[in-house]
Amino acid sequence: MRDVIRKLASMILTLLIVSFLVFLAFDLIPGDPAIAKLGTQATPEQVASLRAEWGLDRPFLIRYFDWLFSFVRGDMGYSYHFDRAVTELLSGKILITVTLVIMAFVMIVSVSIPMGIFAARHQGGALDKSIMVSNQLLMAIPPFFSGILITFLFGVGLSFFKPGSFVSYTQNFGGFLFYMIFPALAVAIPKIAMCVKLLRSSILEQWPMDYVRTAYSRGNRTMQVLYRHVLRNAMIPVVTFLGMTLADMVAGSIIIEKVFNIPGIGQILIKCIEYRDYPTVEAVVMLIAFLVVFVNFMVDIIYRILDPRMRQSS
Amino acid sequence: MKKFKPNASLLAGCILVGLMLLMVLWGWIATPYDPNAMDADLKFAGPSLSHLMGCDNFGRDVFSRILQGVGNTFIVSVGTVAIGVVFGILIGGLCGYYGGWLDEALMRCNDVLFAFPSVFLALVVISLIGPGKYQVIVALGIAFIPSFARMVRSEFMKQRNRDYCLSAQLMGASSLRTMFVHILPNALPVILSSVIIGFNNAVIAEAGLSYLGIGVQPPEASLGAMLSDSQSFLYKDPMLCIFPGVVMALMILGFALLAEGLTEKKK
Amino acid sequence: MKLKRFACVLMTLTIALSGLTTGCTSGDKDGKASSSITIGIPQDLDSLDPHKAVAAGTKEILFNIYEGLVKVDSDGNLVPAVASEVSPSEDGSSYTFTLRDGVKFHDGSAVTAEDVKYSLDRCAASDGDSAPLVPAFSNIKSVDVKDAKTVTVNLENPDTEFLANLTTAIIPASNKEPEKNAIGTGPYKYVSWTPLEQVVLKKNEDYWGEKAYITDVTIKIIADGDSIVTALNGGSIDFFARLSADQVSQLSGDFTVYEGTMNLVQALYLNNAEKPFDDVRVRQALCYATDVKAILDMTSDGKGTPIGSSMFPAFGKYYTDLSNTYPKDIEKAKALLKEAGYEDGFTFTITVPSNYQPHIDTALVLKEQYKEIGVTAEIQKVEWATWLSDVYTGRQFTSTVIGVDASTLTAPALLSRFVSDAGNNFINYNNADYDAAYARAIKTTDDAEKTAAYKECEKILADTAANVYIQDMAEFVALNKKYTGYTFYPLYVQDLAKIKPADAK
Repeated sequence: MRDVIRKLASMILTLLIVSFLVFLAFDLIPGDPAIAKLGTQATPEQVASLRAEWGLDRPFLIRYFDWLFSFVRGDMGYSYHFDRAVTELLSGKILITVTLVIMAFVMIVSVSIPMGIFAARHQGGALDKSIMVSNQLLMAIPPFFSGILITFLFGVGLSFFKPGSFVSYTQNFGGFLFYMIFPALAVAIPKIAMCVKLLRSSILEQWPMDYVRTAYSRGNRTMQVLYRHVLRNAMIPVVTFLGMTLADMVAGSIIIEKVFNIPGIGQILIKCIEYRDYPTVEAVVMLIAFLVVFVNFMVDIIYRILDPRMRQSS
Repeated sequence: MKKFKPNASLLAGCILVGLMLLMVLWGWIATPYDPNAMDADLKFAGPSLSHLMGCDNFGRDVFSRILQGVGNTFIVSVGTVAIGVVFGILIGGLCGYYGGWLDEALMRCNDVLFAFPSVFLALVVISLIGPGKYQVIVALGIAFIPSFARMVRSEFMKQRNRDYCLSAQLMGASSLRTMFVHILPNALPVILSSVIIGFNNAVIAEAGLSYLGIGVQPPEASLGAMLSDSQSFLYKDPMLCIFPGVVMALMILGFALLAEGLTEKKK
Repeated sequence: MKLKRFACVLMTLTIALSGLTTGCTSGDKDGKASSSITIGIPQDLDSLDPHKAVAAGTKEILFNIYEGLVKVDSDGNLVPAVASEVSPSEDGSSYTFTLRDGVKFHDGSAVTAEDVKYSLDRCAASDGDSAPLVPAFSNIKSVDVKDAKTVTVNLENPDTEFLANLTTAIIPASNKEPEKNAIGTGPYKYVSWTPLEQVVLKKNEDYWGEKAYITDVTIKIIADGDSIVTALNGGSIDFFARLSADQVSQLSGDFTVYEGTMNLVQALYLNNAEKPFDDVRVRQALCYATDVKAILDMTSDGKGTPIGSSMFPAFGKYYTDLSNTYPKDIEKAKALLKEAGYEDGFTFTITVPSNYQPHIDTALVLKEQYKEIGVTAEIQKVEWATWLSDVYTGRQFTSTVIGVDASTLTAPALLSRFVSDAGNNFINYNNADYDAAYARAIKTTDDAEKTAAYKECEKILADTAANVYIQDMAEFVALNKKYTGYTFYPLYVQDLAKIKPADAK
């Protein structure tokens, strides 16, 4: 219990540092939000008055703590570029990205774990070899290239879906889910390949270990050894990988959202960095950071459950 | 453990990586045409004997640009992974081996770095140090450290309680020696496989940055920049997209096979 | 494909049927079965508040929702809109407007003189604690309500071209949240806006003028330039403006392509205060080394209008063709460089915003062309925000490729920035003759004299090679063949009310 509290405290500390660094970064990089908003027709007076309106003329630390206190109270501020509250702006977009990530994640887990186990059990067989070869090929295709290929093949060639015809879940939930299958596939394919490979090698690494021999000598059958003992250990790197993949997919949604023209938080992040809309950028980065930290926390806990030695050592 | 008879992966990997290195060298020494020379008459020219892969929207020779692009992508990804691996092993190794407050402190820094979306991190770094090939390496390299560090740390944590490790310590091996002479080689297979993933990610990340306009500066070519540029001409000339895409995929494949072959051989 | 044809047949049927039932009585194009169109835009709106929106891409959509006292027609003339009559005073120091009868806001209320005063005062920031939303309005002394139908705008300094600024939207004084609820008087009503997704408009049935043809308009935001062609060909959008020649060449046969110009001055803008461009000979050398035709051939299949000064053809009487001031002449360019002491050439940086591919393409071609005179150009892509703050506002640059557009169709919109002390003179142009000529143009009320003075300004810019002028870029508009009636404007405007279904008469 104490351990969990300590972990939580360090999570909060991490998030605090992240939020400070984002603020600092925006202070250092070139580009001014007021100038970016007003564009080429702006007069210096207009810029100055907008900066005053947004409170950008105050010292850095005051701005940061002001933002922090509002944030803690649940007020994420006002989006400069989109001219509305950040909470209002993001609430509609988070679900889009989350749907994409969850769909891809489900694909990854449901395909790669059985396939990885299968490949390991039939190691060296013809099927294993063909799985491994196709794996290598699929791993080598970057998601946005596979995105382009999927658009071209399923969209333009076979007309399974209309490229670029994203519909919001508020208008047509079924259509929304259907459209999301294709980008999710593009994200999932290389990750599936990596995961299969990792699980396979991880299982094979466990086979020669002493405890496997012991388990066999106790009269367990192969399946029992595999599911009760080997998999437990073999899953450790896989869990790390899956956790990282989950966080990675949220942060990496930027590119696939661009390829498929999906208005998720990745697109918002890029737009808002471009326009130096940092209340929004702060909110999105905090969101992603929270997710990453949280996933790490969960991975840590799962580790402890999977690996008894870790439980003792800490 | 059964052994693959002749190590097919290693062989295939060597051939692909060898080919790639050859292309890199070729690109450095001389390309068939000036990769930046434009010719309005050759706009979107298809593959021919004089232009093996045809010409792009400026009438530039695609093959020459691919040679240059492979070189740039190679430098960027190798540099990125190198930074990531070296710092990752240092940080992850120390954390995993010693644990305690050092682990706590370093992993906190690592978490902070990890929690940043890598694109955001790269964007900020590039904004600070300016755009360009070498700046991209630094930006991506920093973004790559955390995932390597985590991987190495968990591997070191797993290894440090194993018997061989304890016996090495009993025999009076120093901590550093234990870490780098005993643990590291045992952790290598896992590190190597994450290097493959890292290399893959580096190539993709470089392409992603090019996509966002902050990668290698034009007119210099990189596979990622070529791929994202050619996307605008997908209907007109899909080959413009296919060539760099396939070369990129082969490049990643080559490294993956090589690394796998090496791991197999070790066992 | 089959489905689409079926839908088409169905549509024709319903239209024919409704024609049968109502045809005899009404006989006009209104009152037919509802119709819809989905159009694509490259950038999201930056605000619904017409006075606070600044992006050209936003203003061209808001054009359909809001109107000013006057508005621009497709020839670039100012025509009365919310006002039915304008009477400027002799010297241009005041403008009196008579409001049009029967103009209603989208919420049903009638436009009053108070609403007009409210809107103009709001933009002039007459409460005094912030900068005016429309910079030109700092010249407004007062807005007086004469009676329920008459409003007079008094100026501090007489300005005969002030009317062009009064296209500023008239909004109801009662609407306290114009950024959330767009209420105007235009041919389309605002329905909804989902950021980064879409904006929905509906036909204003009570519009005072010629009503729109299409009932429902969905405006989709297609942020990624590469997916525009896919979205058009795939059928998820019916219309997209400002396509490049390369994009147009990839469209399927379902589209009518309209060709126009972008109405902007694309040039390699040179920082006249920075070495080596502080020397007129170096600037001229670059001009002589530039082959505009080759740029057009390379980047837009030869489409586009070469220009030689900061003025484009849509300006009509103010425009003179100066594009032949510097015909390509490598020897002359080299000689000029030698004279200026750069016999072995030099290296300079072209900064381009990374979100405008046409400008990047132009910069790439320029780089190749300057190799011929031994000059090395290095291209540096920067983010738009960085470009705005460092290049445009901070003037920390050597050269940049960009297109400068005009906010109104008055010569000062393009020429005022080159006056030595102008706040937006980002190239640091400094020429006493120019300042004098420009001052003359502003002062005079005689149209012929004014035109002559503006033309002199243009000539000075060309002769001193203020910038390497390139072109007014070609603009292509794709409209699905199911529709027709697209009309170009000389300003940044998309008039959706003029688009109609192809099978309507």
